[in-house]
Amino acid sequence: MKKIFKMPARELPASTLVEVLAASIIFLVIFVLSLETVVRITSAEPIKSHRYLLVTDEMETLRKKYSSGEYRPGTYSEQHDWGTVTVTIEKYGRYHDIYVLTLDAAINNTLRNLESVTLFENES
Amino acid sequence: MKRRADISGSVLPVVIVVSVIMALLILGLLSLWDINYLYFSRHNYIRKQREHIESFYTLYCSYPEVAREIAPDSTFLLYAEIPESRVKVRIEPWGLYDAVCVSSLCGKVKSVRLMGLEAGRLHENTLWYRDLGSSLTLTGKTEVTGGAAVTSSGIIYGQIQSVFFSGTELPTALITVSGDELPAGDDILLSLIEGLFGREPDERITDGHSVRSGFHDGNTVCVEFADSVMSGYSIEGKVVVQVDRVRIDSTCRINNALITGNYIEVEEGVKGVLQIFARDSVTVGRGVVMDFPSGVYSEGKITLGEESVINGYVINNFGGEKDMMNANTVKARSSKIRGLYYSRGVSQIQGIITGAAFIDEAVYYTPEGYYRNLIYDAAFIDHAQVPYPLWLGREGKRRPAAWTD
Repeated sequence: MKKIFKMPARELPASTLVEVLAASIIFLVIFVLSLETVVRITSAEPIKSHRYLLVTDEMETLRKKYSSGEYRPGTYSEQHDWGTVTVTIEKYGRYHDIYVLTLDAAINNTLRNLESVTLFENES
Repeated sequence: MKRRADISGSVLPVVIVVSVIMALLILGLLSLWDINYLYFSRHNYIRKQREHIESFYTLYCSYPEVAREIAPDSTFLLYAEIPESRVKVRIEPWGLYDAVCVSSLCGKVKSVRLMGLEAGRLHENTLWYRDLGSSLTLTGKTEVTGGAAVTSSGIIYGQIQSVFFSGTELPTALITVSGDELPAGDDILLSLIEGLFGREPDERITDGHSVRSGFHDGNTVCVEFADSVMSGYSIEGKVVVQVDRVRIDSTCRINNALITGNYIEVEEGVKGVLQIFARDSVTVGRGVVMDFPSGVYSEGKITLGEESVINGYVINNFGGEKDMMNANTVKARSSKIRGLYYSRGVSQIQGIITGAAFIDEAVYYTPEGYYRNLIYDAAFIDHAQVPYPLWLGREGKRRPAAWTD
């Protein structure tokens, strides 16, 4: 009968039980982490379910409100459940009816701040 | 099981190396752990770049002269204290408008707007009628809202045959005296139009061809079309199509392209965004809808059919001798123009013009003859939000006529 598997010429040394256990634990940990990460990547809805979406939406509302022309240059503060937004309106360079609107959102329980800087025209 | 007393020297280093590699893999995986934060960071970056691009447009619309401050590398820094606020800018003429292309430095966020002029000093009168010495007669259901600059003899609200004036008389305070010459077209644009007529084509398009060139690509594609009927073509973006005599039918998809030639006919039912430049004549068929920023420019004759809508401009820059028996521009009663109407020579004008109209001489033709200096059943509507082409000059604020890509 023809041999199906050809035996290696040199014998490989057998692993110890300790090595096998250590390797198994490492593989197990990596497997669990990979599985969890894959689940997070596939199930994550970019931004949607996150409160940052709420913050960016709120900042857009504030941007419209403060660029409407009803507010004079200065600094304003807006309090929300999720944190505080500091609004600054300043003149933009030598352009007399162009203003810089800066929104700086400090979100509670996080070190992350969201900032938005835009120009707007105010002829009044 | 036989227990080995010593672990061989090669095993421990191998385990350590493998462990380090695995640890690095784990760190890589951990970086994906807070995937929402990664998504958010990207979203936030894109949002900031969009804000900078919008801010540049805001500044440019109010102060077009800011274009002179664009750096030699075509970039513009919005805020000195924010280096990331540097945007790439390219401004170039596209027909009678300017194409303003702004993008982030990384090129991930791009925007193109075709800019016209905001209503201002150049278009302060809804109706401008050349001072020919004799008065202008308005009759039928003719309306003028906003200011009118007319002949020094003023306006007569008269009748044609048995039809009397039934519109609203213009308050005297809104009527001023025009001038004895139509305001001239912008020299830069006139030379650009000459350049369009004389441009060498890059290639010839044949049956079923599609041509597309994005405004951010930088290159204008100039193609020649030799047939007499343009049917089933898709032409989009920075494309100049050169023709001699052509009929464009409603199966064509034309978006932002320029069509140049001698005789151009746009058949019934065509919809698209196109600027037409013709040496001799342009005929716009019934029900044609040309969206902003479209336009018709001719140096001979223009005919606008019933129910046609031109959003942009209709300019007849006729330079020959007037023939009272042949109108240079004919605008049908149910046609509409939003933007600029400018006609040298003789024009029979009816229907609605929302924006500004500059008329050299108005004539109304009947089977029995014609009436000079008479406008019958036409509405000239003042509208502050209409973007005008740069035909009469570049002075004033800009207004986007279209958002494109």
